[in-house]
Amino acid sequence: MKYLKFLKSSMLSIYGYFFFAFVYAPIFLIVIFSFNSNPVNMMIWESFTFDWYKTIFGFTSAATESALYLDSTDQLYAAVQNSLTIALTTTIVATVFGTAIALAVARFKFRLKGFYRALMFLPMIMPDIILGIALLIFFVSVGIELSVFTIIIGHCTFLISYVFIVVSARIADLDTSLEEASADLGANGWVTFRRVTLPMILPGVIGGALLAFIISMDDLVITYFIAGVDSQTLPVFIYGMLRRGIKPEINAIAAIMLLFSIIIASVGLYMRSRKS
Amino acid sequence: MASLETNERRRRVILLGLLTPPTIFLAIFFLAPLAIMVIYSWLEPGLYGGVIWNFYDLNYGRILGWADSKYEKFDLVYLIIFLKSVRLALTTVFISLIICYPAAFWISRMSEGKKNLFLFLITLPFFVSLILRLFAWVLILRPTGFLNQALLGLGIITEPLHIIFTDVAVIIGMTYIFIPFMFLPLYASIEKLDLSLMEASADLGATQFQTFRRVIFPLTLPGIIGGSIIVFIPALGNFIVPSVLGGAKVMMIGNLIEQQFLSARNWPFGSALGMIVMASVLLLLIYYVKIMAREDQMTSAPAVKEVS
Amino acid sequence: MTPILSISDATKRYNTPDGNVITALDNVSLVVEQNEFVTLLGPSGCGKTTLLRTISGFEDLETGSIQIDGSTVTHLPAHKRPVNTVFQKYALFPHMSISKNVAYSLEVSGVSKSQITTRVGKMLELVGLEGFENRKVNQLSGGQQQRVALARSLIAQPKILLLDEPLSALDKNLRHKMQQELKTLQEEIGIAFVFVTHDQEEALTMSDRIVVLSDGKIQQLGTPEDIYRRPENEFVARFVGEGNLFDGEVTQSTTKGASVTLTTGQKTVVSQSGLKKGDKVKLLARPEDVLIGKSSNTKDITFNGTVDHVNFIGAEYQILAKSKDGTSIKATFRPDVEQRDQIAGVGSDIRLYVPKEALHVITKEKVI
Repeated sequence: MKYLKFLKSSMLSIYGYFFFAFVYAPIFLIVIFSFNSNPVNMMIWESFTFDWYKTIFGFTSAATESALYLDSTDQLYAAVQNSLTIALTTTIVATVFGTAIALAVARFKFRLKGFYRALMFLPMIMPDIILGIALLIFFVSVGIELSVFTIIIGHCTFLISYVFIVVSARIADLDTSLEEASADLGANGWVTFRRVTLPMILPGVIGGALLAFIISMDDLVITYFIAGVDSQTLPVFIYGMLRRGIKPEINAIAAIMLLFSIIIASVGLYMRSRKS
Repeated sequence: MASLETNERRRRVILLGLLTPPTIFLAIFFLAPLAIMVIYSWLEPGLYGGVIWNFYDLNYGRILGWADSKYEKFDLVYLIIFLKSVRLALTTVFISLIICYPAAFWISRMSEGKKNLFLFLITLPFFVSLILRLFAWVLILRPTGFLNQALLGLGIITEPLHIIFTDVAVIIGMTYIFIPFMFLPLYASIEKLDLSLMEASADLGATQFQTFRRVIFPLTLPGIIGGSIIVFIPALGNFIVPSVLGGAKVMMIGNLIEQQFLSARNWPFGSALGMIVMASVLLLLIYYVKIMAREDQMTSAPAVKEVS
Repeated sequence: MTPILSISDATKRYNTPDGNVITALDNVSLVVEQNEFVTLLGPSGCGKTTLLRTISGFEDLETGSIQIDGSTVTHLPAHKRPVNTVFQKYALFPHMSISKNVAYSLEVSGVSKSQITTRVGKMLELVGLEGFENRKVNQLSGGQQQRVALARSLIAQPKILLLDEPLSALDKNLRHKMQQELKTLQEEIGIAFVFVTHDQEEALTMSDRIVVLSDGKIQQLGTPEDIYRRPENEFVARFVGEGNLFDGEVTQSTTKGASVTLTTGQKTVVSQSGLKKGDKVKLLARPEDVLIGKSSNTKDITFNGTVDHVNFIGAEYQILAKSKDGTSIKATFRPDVEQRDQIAGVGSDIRLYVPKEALHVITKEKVI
């Protein structure tokens, strides 16, 4: 009986490790094969090389001179720059707006509260493609040229909701009596916000901002519809590369992006776990 | 001395200050575009991608079956593509559920520290670029890809399998990218499970299977339904996965919409297709809210009731 | 001397989500004198916390006015009122150290740094927490957090200290200790305390005066003895302490008292004046006033029956006896050493009586 129980629980563990293998194997494969020198088949290991990394940083090497795969590193850099500009701007706007709505809904009484909750919920339940085509129709029919600017606007429309949800969860944990205590001890509304409310919800605000940044960096569907010719982001650029045929540099780009997003996510998740 | 009115007025001013800028922003760039899309779906498509401002119900007629004028023809293919998308999305939901349920159980039984580490590891891939995760599967599933190399090398197969550009590849890809979506709601409801309920059930003479069916399953149902919906919605409207892993061979409703906007340039028809997707999502959610309201009543009664 | 707090005709109503209106305060008037310890006592939902929150400024009154030390504060926001609150769960700021918590009100009102340091030091000394300055809130026990909350709300020298069930989160022994400490502290610093609780024992122990509230109305306002011995209505009699209530009717009334006939047919006399012949009344007898044995006075209430239940609670025994006609009576005894073995067992016959002097007449059910 005991033996059976042990067998059962160890089977569950074995399954669990398989589960994680399934989740992580593809990611590790990219990283490993980004060092593979085989220029024809990326999945047949030839020898260890840094060539693909060199290529994306603009250095040519023996392997890449014979076969120039990347159209131009300029395009890649432009895409990275666009992505960062968009993600940073979006993060600031979405964090300010999302936090403002979260504060209003949690701390004030007003009739339209239900409307704002629904409004914040809507982007969560809407398939991305719907928002993408709606924004495309809107920008074109109003006559706004598609650019980095339209992408920023597009990202803000749904990332406000993400910030709202993360910050709201944090405010819900914040006991109103703390703010009352502050007022009771003589602090006016602004001082109470600055010294009690803001420090208490700050982990939520930072968490929401990081989430907004990562999603903005990663968004493909909405960006795909509202990106102009000169305003490709990194995911759109990679998507284009994939459609034209796979080239070994993608592995190196992918590995760097992986590192980047894992660092940001780790910082964010670590901060959240530390605060709670 | 401040009067009641000025106190109240000050709060109003602060509230307006908080709400006005985001409200204006969202009204212009979120609600207006959605409204315009709804209007577009009822307009007549013009030549070269424009619209003619006439009320026109044949965008829907082409899909749902009442178009027989000389301009638009009803074609069953749109409904078939829609139903195929539903089928692929449902398959994805089902497979990710089967994969995640035992894993969530496994993690829920760990010690506190280990639990946090594994939850962190589960959430991490969510932050890795979606297009990269799909790209990885291209490398794995291609005829010359990792999977075929490995299977050929081991002598299990003699000819490469053609998985990529099939429904199976699309389902694998969608399952992979939506695993965190399914896992987290499932885990939330499994973690809440009181282990003593299972002991009580066993104590009252239920077999392991009966305990699962009568105690564990009903109590984790909210997580199952929640996770399923969170996976179903983005899977239904997806066009990136089919275009990367399905190639030209697998067409889902998302690809059809994309085509209408970026190559066929029939925006009203594309909007109508989008509305159909949106409507099915809303119907599903209304159904979900109703189920959850019933579920609430059920679980508010003592859980032991399920065992008797 | 002007009273430190005076509330007149305070009314406050709430709309519930399902469309009903709850009257939390219904024309409440209350005066608290300087240095007084006043307790607001009542069951949950009686309006005691609402009353406290209108004094601190967290709730606005619909009608009525509040004066603190002679000046009207009715519509002043909380941060401008010279009162401070100790919250139910203390509401200490978790992101600040103990000394920062205590210093908060001085910092926000711009007191100089050096002065803050000395005053915080003194305050922590007063509550017995010197040396805890740099600790975090979550490193303290419940009792210590309680003291920090006290120090924080006293440091700005409020005119009144408001306490919202501050002891409810503590265990029983600590609660008793804190009751004593709070009382001593109040006498030492000499400011008025308004204390909210639902624990009648706590109210009786600590207060100079008690306000019993129910349904947003003051049921009775008086010293602990008044409330316990001379409840003005049935609600107060039942809410504070245990008691036996006998129904009866006034048969004769004089300036010195009245004759009352109980529904059981027994006749008794009470010393209350102002009753009218034919008044329906209830007579209250506290369990400790019910005695064992045969009465020598025919006007005492007597009771013959059997013991239905005996509860042993350490220092005393509680007995519930039933008579043949179904009426029951509660009595408590503190037997001395020799009597201990003679406590009647369940089922045995018992003879009890209430001396007529111990009876208190109640004419009203409740203030409504």
